[in-house]
Amino acid sequence: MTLDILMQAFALVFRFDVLAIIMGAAIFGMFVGAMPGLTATMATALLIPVTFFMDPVPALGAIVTATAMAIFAGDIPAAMLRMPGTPASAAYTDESYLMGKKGLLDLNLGTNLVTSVLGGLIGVAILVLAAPALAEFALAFSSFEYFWLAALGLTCAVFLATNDPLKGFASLFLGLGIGTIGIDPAAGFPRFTFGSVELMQGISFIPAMIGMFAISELLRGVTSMQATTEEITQQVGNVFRGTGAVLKRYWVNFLRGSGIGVVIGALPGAGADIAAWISYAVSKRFSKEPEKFGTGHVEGIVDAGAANNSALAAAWIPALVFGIPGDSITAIVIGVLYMKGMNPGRRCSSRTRSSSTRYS
Amino acid sequence: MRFNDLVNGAVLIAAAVFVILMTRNFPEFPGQNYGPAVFPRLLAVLLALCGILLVVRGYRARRAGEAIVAVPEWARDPVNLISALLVLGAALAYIWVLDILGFVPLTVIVLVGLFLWFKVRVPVAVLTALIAAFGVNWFFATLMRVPLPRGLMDWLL
Repeated sequence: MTLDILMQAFALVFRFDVLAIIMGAAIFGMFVGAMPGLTATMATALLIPVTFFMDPVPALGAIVTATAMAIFAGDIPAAMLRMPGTPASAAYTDESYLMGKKGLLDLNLGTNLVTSVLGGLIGVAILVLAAPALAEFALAFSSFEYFWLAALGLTCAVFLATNDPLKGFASLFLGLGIGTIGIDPAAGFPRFTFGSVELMQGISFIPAMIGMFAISELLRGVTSMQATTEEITQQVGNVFRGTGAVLKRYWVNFLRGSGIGVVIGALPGAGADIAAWISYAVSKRFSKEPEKFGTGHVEGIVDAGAANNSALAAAWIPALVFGIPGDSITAIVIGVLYMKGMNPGRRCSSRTRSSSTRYS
Repeated sequence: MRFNDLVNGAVLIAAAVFVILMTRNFPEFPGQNYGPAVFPRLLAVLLALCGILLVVRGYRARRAGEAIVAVPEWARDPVNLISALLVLGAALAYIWVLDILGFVPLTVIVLVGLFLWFKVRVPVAVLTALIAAFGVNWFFATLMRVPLPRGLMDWLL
């Protein structure tokens, strides 16, 4: 990664049309993120058909912007309605809501905004600095290492995603089982297709995601139609007031949250939501005043707010270097990269490393 | 709705048995140790193991007095149950009759039906359904060139 490549990247991004698309994507991402039930993954999935018509740079710029924006915007309904806009905000939804109830809505939103932006920047910096080094490392990877890397990612998902490892394992095996539907890649024999032509190509990621997240969210929504949500009307003033003091006091938390976010985001199969949960738990564990957690205390929000955005950036490391998605968003984007003629993975270091790191 | 682990485990074991039965007629390749049946069978065995462990846990919980089905607050109200079934029914309608009715007619029917069930006023419901159906149809069929089934549309419009 030489400086002139970075300069070239800036020249590619800082063009009027690209910036205009990024602005549009930011507004779109903000809207999607702030709607409870629509996730950053959903924002990416919805953007895909639009990116068909774009050049690679604005297409990836739009996706990266929309997801980063969606992860931050998920904090807004969390604080105001006690509904996380995206799963990545779920870890500190109650905390945020209680802060809002104490009249600290401005400070809460400001802290979320500032830690999200700075955490994301730290994640990107590590991505830019470390991805080429990791690419050299990845060249030495053979099928055995890939197998164990995937196994590591899947076991992480089992133990981190739920507090019940047995059910985690059961859903892991179910998911792998659904993956066997379709033409067997080794022998070309159609498995579990029941004579359906559509099932022969297997069940791909996006229908599975929509089926599992969107339908279940709809069901949750319609069954709580009659339940009235408590409304809080609050004036949003200057969100930046007091955030400097918060950062000064909790800068260790901020750095720790970003660090945890990068490490977890870079693990395949673990993304921003898991990073937020873990960093929130770590924050509570090492806090000097853990009794304040759960009463509307800003400390855990600093950790988790930074962690989910830095995880988002770090999820690109395995995606670009190994061709293994770090989270569901990069899983979709890898498809876009292929369509745009850039093959992420081991060969990315020899052929498209400069361009792929540039786009992120 | 939360089932006791006894039920969850039994469902997993049944699924595993089903998979193993299905793989029985998968072909084998002469001279090769592994065929298409190996991976599904391996998963089925692991799934069955999880199922057995869940059944054991569920049995213990039963002994400790947990109900087979814990009915949550929302499910006691039949209105909520019908709402949930309507949403699932809408998904099934898309699977079964989309090709016959076409995208726009079915979408209007489903949306108006759901809106009226959720007590939206009639003019608002009809207008929103029409705008949504034609808007989505325009976006996908015209702009994105995704072939949506036309069905009755061919002689309606």
